[in-house]
Amino acid sequence: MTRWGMVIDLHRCIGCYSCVLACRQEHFVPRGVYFNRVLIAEEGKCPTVQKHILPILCNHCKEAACVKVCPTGATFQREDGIVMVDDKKCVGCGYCAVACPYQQRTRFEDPKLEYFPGQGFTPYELLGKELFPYKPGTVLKCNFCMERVDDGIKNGLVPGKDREATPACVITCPANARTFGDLDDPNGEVSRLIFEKKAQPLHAEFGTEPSVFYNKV
Amino acid sequence: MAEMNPKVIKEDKWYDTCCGICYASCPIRVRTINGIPVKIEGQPRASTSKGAVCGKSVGSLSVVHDPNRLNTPVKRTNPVKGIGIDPKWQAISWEEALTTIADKIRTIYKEDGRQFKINVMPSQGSYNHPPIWALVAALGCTNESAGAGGMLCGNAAHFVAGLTHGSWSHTADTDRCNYLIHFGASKGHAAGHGSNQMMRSMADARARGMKQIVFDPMCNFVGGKATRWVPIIPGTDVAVILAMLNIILNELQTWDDVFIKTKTNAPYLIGPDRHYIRDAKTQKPFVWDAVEKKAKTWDDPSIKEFAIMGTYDVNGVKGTPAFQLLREHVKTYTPEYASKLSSVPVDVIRTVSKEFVTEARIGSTINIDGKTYPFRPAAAITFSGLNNHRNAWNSVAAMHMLNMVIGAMDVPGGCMGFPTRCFGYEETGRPEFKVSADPIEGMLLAGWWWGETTRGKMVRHKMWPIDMPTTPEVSLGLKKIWSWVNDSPFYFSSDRDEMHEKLGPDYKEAKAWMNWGNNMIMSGGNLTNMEDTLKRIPFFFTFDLYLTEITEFCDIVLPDASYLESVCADQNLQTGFNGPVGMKDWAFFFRQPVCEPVGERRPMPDVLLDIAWRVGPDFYAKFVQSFNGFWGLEGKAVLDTTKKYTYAEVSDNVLKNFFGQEKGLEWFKENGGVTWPKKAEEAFWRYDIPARVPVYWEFVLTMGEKAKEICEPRGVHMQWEQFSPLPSYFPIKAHEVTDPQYDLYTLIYRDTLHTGSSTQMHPEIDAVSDTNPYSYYININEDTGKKKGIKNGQIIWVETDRGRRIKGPVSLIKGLHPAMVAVAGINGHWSKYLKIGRGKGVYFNDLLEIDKDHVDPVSLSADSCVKVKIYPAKEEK
Amino acid sequence: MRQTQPFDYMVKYTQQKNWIDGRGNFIAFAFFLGGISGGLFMAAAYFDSLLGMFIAWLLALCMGVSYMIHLGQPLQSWRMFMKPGTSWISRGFIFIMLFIGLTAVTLILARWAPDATAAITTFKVLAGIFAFAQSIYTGFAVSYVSAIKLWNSAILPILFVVCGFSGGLAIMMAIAIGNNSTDINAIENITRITLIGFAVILIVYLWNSTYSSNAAKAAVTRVVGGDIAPFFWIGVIIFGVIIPITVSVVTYFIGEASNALLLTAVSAEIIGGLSLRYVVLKGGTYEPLTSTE
Repeated sequence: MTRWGMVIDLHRCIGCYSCVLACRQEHFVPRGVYFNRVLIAEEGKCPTVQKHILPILCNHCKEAACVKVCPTGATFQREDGIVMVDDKKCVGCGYCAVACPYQQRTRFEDPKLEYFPGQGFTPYELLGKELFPYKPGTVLKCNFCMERVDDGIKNGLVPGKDREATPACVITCPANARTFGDLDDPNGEVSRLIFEKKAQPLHAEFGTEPSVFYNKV
Repeated sequence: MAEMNPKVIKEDKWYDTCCGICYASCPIRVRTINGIPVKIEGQPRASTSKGAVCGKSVGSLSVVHDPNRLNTPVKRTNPVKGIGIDPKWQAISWEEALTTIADKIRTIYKEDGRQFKINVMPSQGSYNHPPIWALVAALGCTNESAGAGGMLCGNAAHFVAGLTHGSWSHTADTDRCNYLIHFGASKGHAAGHGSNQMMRSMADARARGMKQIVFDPMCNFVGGKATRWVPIIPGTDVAVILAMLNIILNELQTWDDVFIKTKTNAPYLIGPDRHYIRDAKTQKPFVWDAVEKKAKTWDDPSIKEFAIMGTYDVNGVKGTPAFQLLREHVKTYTPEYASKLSSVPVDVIRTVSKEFVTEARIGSTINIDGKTYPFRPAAAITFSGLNNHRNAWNSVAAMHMLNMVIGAMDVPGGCMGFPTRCFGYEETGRPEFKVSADPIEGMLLAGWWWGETTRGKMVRHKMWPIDMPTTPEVSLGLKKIWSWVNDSPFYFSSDRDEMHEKLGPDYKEAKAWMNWGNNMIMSGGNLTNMEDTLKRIPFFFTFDLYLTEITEFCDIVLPDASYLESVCADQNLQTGFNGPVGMKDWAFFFRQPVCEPVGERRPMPDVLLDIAWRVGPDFYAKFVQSFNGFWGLEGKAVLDTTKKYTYAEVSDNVLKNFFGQEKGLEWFKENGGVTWPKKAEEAFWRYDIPARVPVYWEFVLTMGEKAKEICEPRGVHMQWEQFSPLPSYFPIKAHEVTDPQYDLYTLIYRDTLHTGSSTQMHPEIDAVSDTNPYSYYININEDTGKKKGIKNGQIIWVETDRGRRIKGPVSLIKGLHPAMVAVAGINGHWSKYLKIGRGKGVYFNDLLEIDKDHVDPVSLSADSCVKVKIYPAKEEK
Repeated sequence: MRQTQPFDYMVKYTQQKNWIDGRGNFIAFAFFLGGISGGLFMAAAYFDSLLGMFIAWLLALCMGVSYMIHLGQPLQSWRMFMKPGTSWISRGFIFIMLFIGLTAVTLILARWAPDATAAITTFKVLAGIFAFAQSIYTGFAVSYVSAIKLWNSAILPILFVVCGFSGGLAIMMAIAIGNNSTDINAIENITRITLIGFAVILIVYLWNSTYSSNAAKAAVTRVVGGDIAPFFWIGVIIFGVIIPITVSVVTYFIGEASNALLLTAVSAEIIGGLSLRYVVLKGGTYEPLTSTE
């Protein structure tokens, strides 16, 4: 069985925000909503300061809290592990957004926010509204670029290996910090990286069994 | 979540092109749906970026349909010029605009073509510099600079890289390097140098185990990834470097003997006058053959053994090998002395020195493509950290000498040019960069292929031979005296009038300026200075995407096409910061438009061709001939100087010239680019060429002597002692401030999200800028802030000892030297037409003095470090 | 917690933003209404007050409206009963629907078929069960969120239901005063015990939360000494605990209390109940995702 997952190499990552922006661009994500974020933190004291850069996105958890708490079944997990939201069923109660320990879900509140406030929507934004007609009041989040993954598989491509079938945040990274692949394939790239680099999911104690792993060395 | 609705897609195209946001010009692919650009991705066929692209590029997609873009030519109706003074723009037709401009240029051309000034932007990957240089060439003018940003850019770094690596700049062979010291260089992290190429390469290197030792006042982009971050006081790195050389040469007594003796001027004999002892007939410097015990010219094939120590008698003159002098010179730089100046602990200086030579593996070799090369997997690199200070040249030169002593120059693992040597595309042998040796002194002759132009040598970045200072001066930038300088501050320094009175040409002002994309009012020095300069320009026209701050001083503004709306053939042919380094395959991708220019926008090169045509046939002929010379166009590719061209047609000729008659514009539009394998001899050419690099900068001494000879009698005094043959520490002005209330040093640095002053217009980039504690804030060390009672988010003033001050919100961070104030540049826009960028971030450059005493006397690099005090700003309604 | 900068998101303790502030306040309001409606019904059922049960029913309807206002897509709300297996909101939806329905039947029977006592009692008991369920489920819904340590406490559902019960008793008291009922003393007695119980549970809840994690400790610090402190001390403690308990003690000793005094206590408890939900929701703080101090 396929279970899509990702490994993010924090040693490589330089915090350039390309993933954040490429993701927004790929999905014409409305203003104020982020599927990918980069967190910056510091630890220590000058000169032994550690700068932490943490790119975060939906972890597509195996035991997803959001799937459990959704009252309508709008949030569900596909067989390949991708957690997605069916906006036809989403009632916008926000329980999933609250329950997600990684805070990776956003209720889409204001469809009127413009890239250039007060100056109208650009052709890109208008096209985006048609191409991805997000419903205000429903919850939005990363979907592991399932359009790319599904189309890719249909055309005989391998997600994680072939660019067109791989999530936008993975292919855009200048530091090649992200790897996408099948966690259930013990010989696959992500499984190998998790083993070699001792990659760990973020805050495993939340108990949700994330599909996104991080390594620091 | 909404599923994608593919029925909306009527047309779906991908274009292979190049980014134009910074000078790295990374190859990209752009998708358009129904004619609208919707996605920017990396180019997977590029050996440099390997399919990736950074956030600046992705976030710049909105530039095409940005409602704040200028879409028609405008002229001012308010004759009063000044900061914040509304020019009261009136939209005019292209016809009116170009007629006005052509008339002005024709008048100047007929009177004295030198009375013109060009500002280009040093970045903006468009790299459409050739049409601009064609304009100055046609005018017979040499007043050209990268606005004001240039002298805060790489004057010293380019000069030294040209002499030591035969290239515009340097980086490291990070595919093989194991130990990399950064002296204020964020290549591969935030810098545009190689941008995505370096980001990928350095990340791969880190994953492989490369150590990064980062000397930087701030632990941010590169410090944050360091194996060891070493906070340091700005302008003192040279003392640390010289102390390292002392430890390496005098304590550890380790160096790459073969490299020193055969690839540097270390064996050259120096006389008591500090100059080479030369053969009277050939003028070639002498060396001492330690076996035959006699002086011979440096290239004498009979030399058995180069002496690098001792003293020798050469026809009655006492001669000392340069290496001996170097070792004695650096002895005065003890680690304790360097530590006191720089705040770097003594043990760190010792440890890093030891690690550097150990990791260099002097004597080891590596096999690449069947050839054996010295393997030196250690390097030191720099840029702004050493370059943006009053001791720039001494600092940069000293740093390169670290690489020299371990022989890590253009060999596997070491410091590399960007790149230096190219045998050309397999099918055509072009472009060809032939690096060679000067027959007289053995110095490196850069082989960048840019041909001869009437503009002169600067275009070709041929640092050697140096054009020594001469009079009479012909340039407003005083570049007959400082000929090796890329960007002169004297176009707009506060002492500009005085310098011109005493040293200048026979004309005092340019009658017209042309600007392309540069926003020098923001990127130069303090606003009083810059405003005074720009207000005086009789006629000033610019090409820009927006009505930026500099347009407040313009008479006509022409709406330029962005990089997504225009063609540029040579973007990556000029490999200044984007050539594939080391063994990465050659990859040439060109820039094509992904959509038609919106509104009445027209690409600058086409407009200049139009203007040149209007000025007159004679002028136009020189303009076009400049293209022929610049690119070295041959055969069918030669442009007809009587034919009216579009830039697309020129690009077609250029591409065919380099890649073959079948590979013109249409071929490239279809195929995007060509790639061909790199040969090891192209990457690691050092031992193929008899050229030498200077550990003793004898010609710099001459440069200083000649400059002093011209300047002193005319009442211009500068710190001539900085023209030192052995790099030394000279304090910067900030080090000399003794008033204790000014207790902090400033740092302006480049943010990973921004380049120049243009990225703040892009809403996506602006939005994420707010999500980190650096981009839009004044950073102070947490403990320093606590001691001064400054809180996060508080608005403070930062004031220099000269009373100049800037204001902004504070973000307290741990990763900053306690004696520092750091600001990311270049933010703080004030133009009312920049609705996204206006008021975002902190404007820094108003703190800076620009005059002869605040620039490096050798390279004319400006100093971005001033001594300041900080205090809370009261609430202002 | 210092003033939050945009870059503090998930780096410093980050307050949840979905179920509070702006439109999110309707969730706090709905939680409060659910608690008080359930509590009132249980009190009214015990004291056999038709009016009380009716007001409880109305409050339940108001709660429904408040939820609808909060929902992003209220027209899809009919789907909310789909996942009772795992979702507390789904269960709560079912509880509320059943409570409203069973209460309506109870009221109709009581009003128009008062002799059908067995049926009335049955429906009343069933409605009472779902009143309790409706009152306590919000506590479970909130404490299910394991990432918000202030909420992830076994005490929270009990706190919510006790608070709801005390609020319900307060309204019951107002009804009794209005009717000049003889049950006032009995209501006062139960109220005293409930109030004291509420105060104890609240203190134990907050104190114990400081042991559970740094995020919970930070949240409690905000509640008692940070930006939420005014709502906590004035709303929850003064109005929700001190005023009612003081009145309770006074009436215990003086025997006969004026209506004004009692109504003051009633209003205070209502304000206290609303404040409690607001404070708990606003105090909801996530563990930072990355290292912090």
